[in-house]
Amino acid sequence: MSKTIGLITANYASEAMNAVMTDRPLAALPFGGRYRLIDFPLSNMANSGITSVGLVIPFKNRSLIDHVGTGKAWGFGRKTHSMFMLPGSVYGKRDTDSKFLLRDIIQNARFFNYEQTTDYVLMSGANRVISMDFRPLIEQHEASGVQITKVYKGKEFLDIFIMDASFLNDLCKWFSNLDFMDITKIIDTYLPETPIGRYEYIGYEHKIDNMTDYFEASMELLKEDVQDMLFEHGTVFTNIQDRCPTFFAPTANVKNSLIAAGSSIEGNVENCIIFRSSHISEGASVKNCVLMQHAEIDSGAELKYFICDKRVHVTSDVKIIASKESPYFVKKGMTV
Amino acid sequence: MASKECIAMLLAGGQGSRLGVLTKNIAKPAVSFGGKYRIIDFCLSNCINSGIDTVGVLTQYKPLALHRYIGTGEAWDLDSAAGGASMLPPFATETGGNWYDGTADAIYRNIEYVDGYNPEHVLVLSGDHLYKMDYNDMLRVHKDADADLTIAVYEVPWEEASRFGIMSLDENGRIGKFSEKPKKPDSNLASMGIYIFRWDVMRAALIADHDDPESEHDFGKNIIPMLLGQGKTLIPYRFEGYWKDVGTIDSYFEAHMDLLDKGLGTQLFLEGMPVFSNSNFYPAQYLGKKASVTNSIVSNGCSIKGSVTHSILGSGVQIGEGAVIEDAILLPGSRIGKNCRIKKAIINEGVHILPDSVIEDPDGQILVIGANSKFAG
Repeated sequence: MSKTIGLITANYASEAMNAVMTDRPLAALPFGGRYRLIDFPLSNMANSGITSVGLVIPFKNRSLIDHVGTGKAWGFGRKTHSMFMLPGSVYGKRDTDSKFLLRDIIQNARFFNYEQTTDYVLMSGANRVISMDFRPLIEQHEASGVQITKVYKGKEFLDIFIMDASFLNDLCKWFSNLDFMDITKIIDTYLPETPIGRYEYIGYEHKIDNMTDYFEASMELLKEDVQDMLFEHGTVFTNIQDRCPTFFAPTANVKNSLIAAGSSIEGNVENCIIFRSSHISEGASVKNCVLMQHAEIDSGAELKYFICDKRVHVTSDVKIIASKESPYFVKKGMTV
Repeated sequence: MASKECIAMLLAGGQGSRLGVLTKNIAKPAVSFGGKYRIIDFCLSNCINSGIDTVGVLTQYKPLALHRYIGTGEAWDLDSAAGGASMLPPFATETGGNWYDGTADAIYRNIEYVDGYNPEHVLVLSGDHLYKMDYNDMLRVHKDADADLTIAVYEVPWEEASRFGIMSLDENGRIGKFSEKPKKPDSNLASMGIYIFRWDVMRAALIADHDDPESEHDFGKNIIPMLLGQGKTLIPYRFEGYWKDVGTIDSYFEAHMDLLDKGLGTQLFLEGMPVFSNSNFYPAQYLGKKASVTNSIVSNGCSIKGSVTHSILGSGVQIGEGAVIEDAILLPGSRIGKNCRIKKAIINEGVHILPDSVIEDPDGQILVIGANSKFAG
């Protein structure tokens, strides 16, 4: 039986997002009420039977390491299922243009060499909301005889590909002087004759590179078909926090929203994503908002198209009416 | 030999027959409570929050779901190498095997397990009570008084005292008399079924009790009177927080309504020590465009398109459009079809209610809809 190991690259941030939100790698971006973006590729690996996963982490890795821990929530961190933290070779990229740096592979060569019996390496970025079973991809790649198979949805490359471990090994030797480049770009530029397999993905996915993407992907979660595609085909695992269920007060009025556990809702909520342990007071009104963990919205506050990072407090009677085209952002820990 | 100051023995083997269909397939401590919890979560969480990291869980009646749920005890941090949670169902020995015959007998048959930890004290708990308690404080009281047995007591209304095991105190504030469900109670201090014994005293009492052919091998009926007769030091530990034995449909329903009406939810879940549970991974709950949810507790993974008021919804509950749910407890995984009307009912785990069903008792009785069935009203 062939063996596939996984590699998730998480050593890039989005400058556009960090300008308005807390500085963190995209992989650690909170999403969908109780997830972070890293949950999607990690869960995909776990749900596809991959037992050994490397996670390339950036220099600013606290939030990411805090979240994934040993990988136990995803079924890793065990004797037979392991997740390895692989320090990224650069300080951490400020953009998402290059995700699969050759030097990250070279620097962590021991991870790959340690897995002597590896046939294939399956790589995934960490800036997409996607719930994908990799097993058909592995099967197609194995049957095809090509050395690399990339995953597309239509014209878009989804930052997911699988390659022969021997080919990756060769690239590391041949191109060590170009190690600042992205593996896929090295192949495109210097090995244009390489046959590249193509795997067509048909499920839901959403790229998140900037705040517009983030807001759009968040709002898409309110569509039931999107919920079905993301959550019905395999569990999306995340860090468990043992929050109690959510309380809805007699005055609560909630429509078309996702609410995470540990929250307390007394006011009006419509078209919102509310993260864990948030509190919407009686008489407050939030519409088309994304409120991250521990949001505290006081009575009389009125928010539209408002996105806030963790632990934001909106005081009484504050009105912030933004628009879909330019939502209003508030950084972590601020009081408005 | 390494020794522990105190380990816990958690009695979780009872059938809980008064909970009817809710315990048809699972033991009472495994019954769902408060949306995402199971009754036993409270005791297990109390243990770890009190620094007790060794818990023997005595099981007997339909233990499979309970064993699977507790697993290694990891969800409660009870998977420590130095102790942790151990499932203790009845077992066979070279002289045959027996079912546990009473609460004291269950622990008697596991004397070797307890001896393995060489504890000074043993905390005995019931896995079907709802409360938050720092057992460490009780242990401190027990040690300070140099007691042989400390019993947690709860002040109940005098008119209800005859339903409980009642402790009467002597002039020194020690327990002088124990009466099981007395007709004319002379005290309103009810035993909560939470005991801390000195292990050497308990061990000797269990062996003596085992050899007594007349004994029912029950802590309340036999062990406590025996120790009183021997002149041992028994003291009360007064507890004043919320405590409920959710042993009947009425009390189970009432405890849920207390979560909403009496601020119990806040008291149990938000204040003080956390309650841990072995929950599954669910996405955040979704409330649809036509949903209305008021005065309710809703767990992760729910999808609500109808109207819900004054109800408790477990993990992954689905409610169809047009359904109206009031004063109901919907246990995890239950699904309510479109346009159903449910009032004052308990819907068991995984039960599907077909569209347009009406579940409401004309006399206002609590209706309980059983396990793994489809139901049309």
